Amino acid sequence: MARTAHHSPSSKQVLILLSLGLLFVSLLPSRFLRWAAWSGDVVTTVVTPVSDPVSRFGHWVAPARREARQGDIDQLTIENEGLRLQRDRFARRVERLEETVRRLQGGIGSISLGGARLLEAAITSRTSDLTSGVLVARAGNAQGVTTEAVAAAATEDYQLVGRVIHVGPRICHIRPITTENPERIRGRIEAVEEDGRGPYVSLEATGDRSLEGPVGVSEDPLETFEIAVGQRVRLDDPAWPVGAQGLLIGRVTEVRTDPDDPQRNVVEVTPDLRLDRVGQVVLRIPDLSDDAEEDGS
Amino acid sequence: MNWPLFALCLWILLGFELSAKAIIALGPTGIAPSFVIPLAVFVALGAPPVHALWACLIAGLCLDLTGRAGGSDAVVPGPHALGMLLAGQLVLATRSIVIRRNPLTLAALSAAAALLTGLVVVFLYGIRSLLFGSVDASGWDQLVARSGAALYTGVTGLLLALVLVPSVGLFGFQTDHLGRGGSRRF
Repeated sequence: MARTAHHSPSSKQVLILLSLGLLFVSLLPSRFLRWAAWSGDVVTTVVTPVSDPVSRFGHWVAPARREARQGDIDQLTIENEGLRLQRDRFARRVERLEETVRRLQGGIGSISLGGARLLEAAITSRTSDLTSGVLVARAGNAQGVTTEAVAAAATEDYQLVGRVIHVGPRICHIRPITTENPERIRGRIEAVEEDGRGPYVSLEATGDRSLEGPVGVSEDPLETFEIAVGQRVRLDDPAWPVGAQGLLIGRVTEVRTDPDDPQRNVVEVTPDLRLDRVGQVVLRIPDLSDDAEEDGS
Repeated sequence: MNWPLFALCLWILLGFELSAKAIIALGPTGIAPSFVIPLAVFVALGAPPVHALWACLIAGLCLDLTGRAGGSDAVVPGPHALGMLLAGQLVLATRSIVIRRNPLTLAALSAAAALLTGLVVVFLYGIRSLLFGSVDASGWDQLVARSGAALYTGVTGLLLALVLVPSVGLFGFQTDHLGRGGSRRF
């Protein structure tokens, strides 16, 4: 196999020119680099036959299990009460699932639910730069995925995974909520009594698989709300699509006083799953068709 | 150099880069080894210089195209490609003074190449951050994470050396005849 290497001078020159070109391109604003995203989709799709089985094996070996939390009797009591209150919600969900089964049996691959279409997608890989935290799911334009879609994981309660930030022909990229990001996410702590609506929290990813942020102060000075470890926090953010509202962000894992404002609490919220190890997501795609609009109205 | 074999290995290892890396990452630190860099280093150890640099550039470009800068949607072609090009040059400069067939050589040079690539990537992303204020990967945290990843890449380099070094002949690298016994090293 040993051969004599012949390099034409042009090969070296092309290499130098290409390097200079790449240096120039790497300093261009993102808006001029959309073509690169398309090329990236092609490369990611081409390596899927390798990355997908390895990912599946990885999810089998290290599943997105629930994070270990400090369990104590108080917390379990709160959870118990919360579960009792959720019983009715689960009953409604069972009805919806029965409807889903009926539709799937009719040969429909995805379902329409409250103006949002649900589509299951496997996580086939991550991006090569692991620090970005972006997940790659096997569903793209061909399946009707848009950047308005959000990803959730089907657990006992739909766990919000993240937002679709890029859609290719057959793949899409999802940025998990636990990835460091300047955008804050607003949630509402779920109360176990009354209407189940607690105070708002403005959360920001810590980079340590959790989010934290200050708890909003109620406008009514008489209104009190005791925040406890284990309480659920659900998405309630107008910046996110309607179909994503109410999805579980996580549970309160720590409550402390804001050092800058002693009147205010800061909570740490941890998702029920390790979002970096989710193997399957359900994409909630806003259904913008005429039928859906009529249904919604 | 056997380019189809290089393409096949790159395809497989890029697949691992996009999937296995997340599994063996050290907690939430983002410290994870590269699978592609040891391949590029292996090629740079044995291939003719220009071929080696082309291979490094292609491997780096693949990493750029399959990466997302700092969790944003931006795909920036260049940082990894240029970093690996420099890393390739580093290997070319040192390959005459190392024992190429020793797996430890591939491990050590993979770590060094990953470190150099990481520095270039952080530097270029840092410039992008200054220019555009974008959510790009830059700063000390990145530097620490990539330095840790570089050390970790040394481990994958060692493991891959067990597969790659015996396949020198298949890659078509030129071999040097040593002594009368006809023993070879590449």
